[in-house]
Amino acid sequence: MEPVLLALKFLVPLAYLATAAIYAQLFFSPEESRFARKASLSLSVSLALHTLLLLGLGASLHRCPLGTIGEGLLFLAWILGIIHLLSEWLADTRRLGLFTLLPAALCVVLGVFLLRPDFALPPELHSSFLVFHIVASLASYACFSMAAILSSLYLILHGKLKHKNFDITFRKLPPLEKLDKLSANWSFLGSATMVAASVIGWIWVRKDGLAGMSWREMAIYLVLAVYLLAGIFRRLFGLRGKRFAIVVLVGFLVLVLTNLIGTHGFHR
Amino acid sequence: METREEQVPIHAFVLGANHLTASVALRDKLLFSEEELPEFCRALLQVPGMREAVVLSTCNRSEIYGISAQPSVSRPLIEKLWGAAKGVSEDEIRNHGYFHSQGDSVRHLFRVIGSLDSMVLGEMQIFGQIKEAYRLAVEQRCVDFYLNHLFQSGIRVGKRIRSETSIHEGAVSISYAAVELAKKVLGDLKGKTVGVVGAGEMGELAAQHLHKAGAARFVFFNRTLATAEKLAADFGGELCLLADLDKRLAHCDIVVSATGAPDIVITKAQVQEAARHRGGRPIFLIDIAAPRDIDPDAGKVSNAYLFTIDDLKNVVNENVALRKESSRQALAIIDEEASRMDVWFKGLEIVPTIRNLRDKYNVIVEKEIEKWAAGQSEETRRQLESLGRSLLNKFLHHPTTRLKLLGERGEGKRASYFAGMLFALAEEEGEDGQE
Repeated sequence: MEPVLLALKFLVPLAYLATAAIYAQLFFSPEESRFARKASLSLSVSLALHTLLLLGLGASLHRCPLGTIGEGLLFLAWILGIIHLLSEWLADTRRLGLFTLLPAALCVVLGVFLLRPDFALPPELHSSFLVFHIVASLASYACFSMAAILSSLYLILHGKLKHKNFDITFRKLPPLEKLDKLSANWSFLGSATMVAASVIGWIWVRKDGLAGMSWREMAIYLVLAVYLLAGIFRRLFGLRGKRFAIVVLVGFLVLVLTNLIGTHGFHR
Repeated sequence: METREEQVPIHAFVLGANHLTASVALRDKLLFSEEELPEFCRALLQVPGMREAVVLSTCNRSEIYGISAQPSVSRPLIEKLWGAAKGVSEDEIRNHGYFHSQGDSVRHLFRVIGSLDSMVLGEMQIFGQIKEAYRLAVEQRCVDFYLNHLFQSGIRVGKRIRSETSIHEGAVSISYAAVELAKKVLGDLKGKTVGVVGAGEMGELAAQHLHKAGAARFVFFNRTLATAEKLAADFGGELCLLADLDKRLAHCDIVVSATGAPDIVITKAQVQEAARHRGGRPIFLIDIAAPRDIDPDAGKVSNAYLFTIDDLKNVVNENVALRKESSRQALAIIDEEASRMDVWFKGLEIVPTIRNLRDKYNVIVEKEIEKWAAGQSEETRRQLESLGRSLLNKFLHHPTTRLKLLGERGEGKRASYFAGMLFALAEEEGEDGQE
């Protein structure tokens, strides 16, 4: 088992980096169709290897591999990969693979680097509620990441249109309206999964009699507040386009900061 | 129509005139209508030496693709036939047309179908027109083995160029560039509202393209309603006075302004007010008037995207440059496929020899079966026939594949000569049975 796991730890980052490189060629090359099949195939192989790595880690650790930052990053990258694949099928966003899969590749590289096979989960954390809580949280992170990527692309295209810069990036990006709608959809989905994660977490804490969240840890709700307000303002007051994109990016920045400064999650 | 069984050398050729060689007046004269094409196609096969023919006739080119045993003989006769059918002298066709044979004709077809020879580089209408010309020739039984292979290869080349290059991408006319930019901002134009300011030709043209792209509602603004009435009727649109622009601008997703007014017609304040009422939805403005109709500062309004005729020209120039770049990739595909066709044509030189070889040994086998099956049961005869066929195929397998290979390498004539010597292919059939 160990040699297979070791091989996968090398193979998965390489596969993701190769996939990101193929998607980069697909985006910047005028012969897009030459890379389309290769890109899909490469992504499928990467996801298959990634799934095997997660299963292998679970088998080797005798628990769900969601206990450390490394494991969390690996799972986040896996969800990003799945989300991109779904988005390719449902919203024809293959061209945007570079922008989703490059962050996913970085998460995988960092995740593998930060894996701690000797880490033993404290007994109070051996709960299936915790697993669902983390899965839902990471799913919301992935959705917010997608929204942030799409909003960044919106701002890039907006800038190109305003400055009449009709280069290859301009040509390859989807229409503004599509980027705006997709970003809004992912923000909504992210908010919904984050609410679900909070509810599951609350039930878990109540059921196992654990200490509730500290005020510092509650900073994560700032993220939820930003996205929920963005959604409400969009619905009621027409917050769209550039302004909506900026709010989404602010929300994502808060999400990154709350995790970086260790107010919530794996840093406890 | 002669068939491929006849063992005389064949030559592919194309005879035609296009936008690069002939004037519009001559091209118009040489053009065949849909009704005329079948008859002319059949008439071509009556020309001595002609075996197969496909006639392609579009506003930019009229071409005859043919297979002939003697193209040098067929050419003047075809020119005469074509000239007589269209009231044009043969000299005019010869002086303002072109004639390519064998590999050059193949490359020509591939260039045409890949739209490298078109007036607008990368336009894809020609692909459908060639397919239609081929279909019509097949229907008239004017196509057999050779042109069938040539046109199937041509269609494959067209498909490859379409899918593997960007030669057809990007608008190359001002009106389409406007539609393309509108799509870049608004996505699908279905159901979008277009406001056309001014009732001139430019505005009408832009409205036509936007209508084709799916825009559903049109509002025509003009100083006098009477001038714009016809436009509104043509597009099923609404008619408004220019004075009402303030009230209606917010309802328009796309605004095309093309008046002859000397001053600004749409101000920044009007756009700002419209954007405020649109609940964050973008508004796309095209100013194709000279002097400008829309205040240049209107482009600074958030969610308002303003483009002028110069911007549209820049888009077109960039797209033309991109198409030119892609044409290099298309040429590489053409070279690859044309080389494949060269090999195929070379391989055909050996086909009569292979056929002779098989025929000769088939006769020997049949005679031997006749001799040995005489007086035997039907079952034994069947077994002998089966044995004969099997042995024939096994014995001739290697000579056949080697001959084909030599043919594809361009050594068909030499291989034919040696095969003839080796297998006594030129000798009388009667002798074979005596061996």
